[in-house]
Amino acid sequence: MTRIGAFFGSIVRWGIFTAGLAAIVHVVFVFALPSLVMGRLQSQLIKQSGFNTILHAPRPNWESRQVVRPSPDLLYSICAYNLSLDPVRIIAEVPDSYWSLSMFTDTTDNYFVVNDLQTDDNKIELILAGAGTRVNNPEDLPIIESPTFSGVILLRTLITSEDDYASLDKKRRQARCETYAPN
Amino acid sequence: MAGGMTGFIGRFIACCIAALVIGIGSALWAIDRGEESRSIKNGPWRTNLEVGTSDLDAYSKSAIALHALLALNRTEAIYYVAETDNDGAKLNAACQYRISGSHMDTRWWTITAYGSDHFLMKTDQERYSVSMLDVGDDEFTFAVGLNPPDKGAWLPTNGKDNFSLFLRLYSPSEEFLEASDTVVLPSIVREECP
Repeated sequence: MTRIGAFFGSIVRWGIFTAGLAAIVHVVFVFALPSLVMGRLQSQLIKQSGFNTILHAPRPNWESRQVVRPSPDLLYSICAYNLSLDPVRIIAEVPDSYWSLSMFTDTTDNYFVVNDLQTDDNKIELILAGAGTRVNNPEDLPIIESPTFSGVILLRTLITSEDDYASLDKKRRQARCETYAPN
Repeated sequence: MAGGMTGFIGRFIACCIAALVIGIGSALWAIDRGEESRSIKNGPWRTNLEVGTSDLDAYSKSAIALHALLALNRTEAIYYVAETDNDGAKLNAACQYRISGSHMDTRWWTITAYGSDHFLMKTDQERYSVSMLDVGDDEFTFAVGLNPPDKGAWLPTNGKDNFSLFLRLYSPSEEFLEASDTVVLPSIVREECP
């Protein structure tokens, strides 16, 4: 009887240990997942082009596996930024068709977006800096503050027709993302 | 004594593995169920109201990281996903479907087919979407499935597993946004299935 009692007592103790540990794993996983997913994306981008450099991704097809549900109607240009040393300047030509520039924190929050109808002169130029960072801005460019020191800038260009594809692709490749440290 | 210690270590490792499986499995289940509960339904289509917004709880953020990474907020673009047809049956890549709709109050719309892994499907045609430029923006109909239709536009599938349709609407009108659960969206009707 004593041995049976000890056996069941052992099962209960291990069961409580497993349930408690599972609860901790559950909570840690849920809180860490957005950072893990963005961290993986940023690592892939840094491997290909480095920080604060724009990468003009090829037109999405069945081989595109970096981000779920890529749109085959869009041309994506993407920049993994790191503002811990200096701000970043973004310069882009804006086409006549749908275009947007959006910014995401390293926990997936979309904190800024601007589209082609909201820009002047078919060109956009702005500075991205860490929140509360003093920026030397001699050209008086618009400044966007990122809630986190790293994240992702994504430019979308809509392919309105196959005839326009080459010119849209050429125009989006004019975009730059670069460390901004004027004297 | 050594046997007792070995048994203890064995049980400890087994419990840790079980805790990892249960913890991660239950987290993924809760994230997916939560994503459905935060979405609104419109016929076979579903849209997550929280995509592109900030100040979300941890479960919402995780759902977006898994299913809508780098998605725009709703004023910029609204996304609907359909994993079933109008009758509620799972979309099957081996079947034929007819998509029919009418004008949607937005600057641009497009419908894309994705495999069960949420990526574009490999097909011989390498055509992945149908947009308002392909079928017009008033009354439109096109086919989705393994085989081409006798006439009209066709969005091919690969014949394997289930698939989903993703409707993107760029710069939707305010009226459209406010009525995103009642606006008329394209219907998805199954026609043939092997």
